[in-house]
Amino acid sequence: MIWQLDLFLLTLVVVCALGTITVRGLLSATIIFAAYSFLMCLLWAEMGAVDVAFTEAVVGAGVSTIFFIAALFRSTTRSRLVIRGVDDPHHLKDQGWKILPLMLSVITGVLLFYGMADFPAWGDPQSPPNVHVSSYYIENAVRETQVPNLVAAILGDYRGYDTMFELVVIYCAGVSVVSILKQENL
Amino acid sequence: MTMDTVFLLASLGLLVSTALALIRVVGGPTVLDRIVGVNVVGAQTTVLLVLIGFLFGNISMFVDIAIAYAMLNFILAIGVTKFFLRRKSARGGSEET
Repeated sequence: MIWQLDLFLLTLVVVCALGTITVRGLLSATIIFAAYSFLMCLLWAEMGAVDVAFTEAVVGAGVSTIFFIAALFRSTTRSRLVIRGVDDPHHLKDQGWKILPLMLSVITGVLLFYGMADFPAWGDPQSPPNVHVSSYYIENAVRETQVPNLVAAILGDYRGYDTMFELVVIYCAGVSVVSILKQENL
Repeated sequence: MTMDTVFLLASLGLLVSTALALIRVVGGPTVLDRIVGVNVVGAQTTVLLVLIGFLFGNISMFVDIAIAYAMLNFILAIGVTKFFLRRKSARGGSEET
């Protein structure tokens, strides 16, 4: 972890996130969200989690942006606020309801930060996952599962049920996406 | 000055220019500004990934990701512009912000 890059990248990520939620127009928000995903991927890579960075690049920046755009094909890109005008009385009435989600987000954020205090330090070799589980896998995986690749042994054998139902979920998602997209030619 | 310092300074400089591109992405008046801005951000992150690979001393792994990244950046630009063109021809008017 390189703290100079970290600080800079996190600042840019926050700027992107604020831009996404404040900008008018869904296409613009989607584009800024893509930039957010690019920066997030950079952040993961910079922390050494290369596989996560790869997933973020493919799923976050690539596929989900395309899905957002495909969804925009079927809707209007203007938000309700722009169509009705800001000085519309309905708009003022809606404003009161927005307090509740804001409070909910803030409370969740505070709770998450509170829970974060118990985490082990980044890259700590003495943290529980690094001491107990990982060393067990490294010592016994080949003998117990006969799989030469350690990651494949963990995903396909030790976490076999987890991986199986993950595949079911991904299959269902793929089937629904295909069945939705097939209805019309994009 | 060691080689690591050079790479670090280079990546910081690239991040500054990324921030400049982000000004257009977040504040840009038209959608086209944002699309080009995201493209620039994507190109710069590709280079930054390789620089981070140099900093970690594990260049071969990061080059693979950088290549996939550049490809995704291209796909993204194609998808967004395709949507933009279609919307424009369907509505007969330009999309604002």
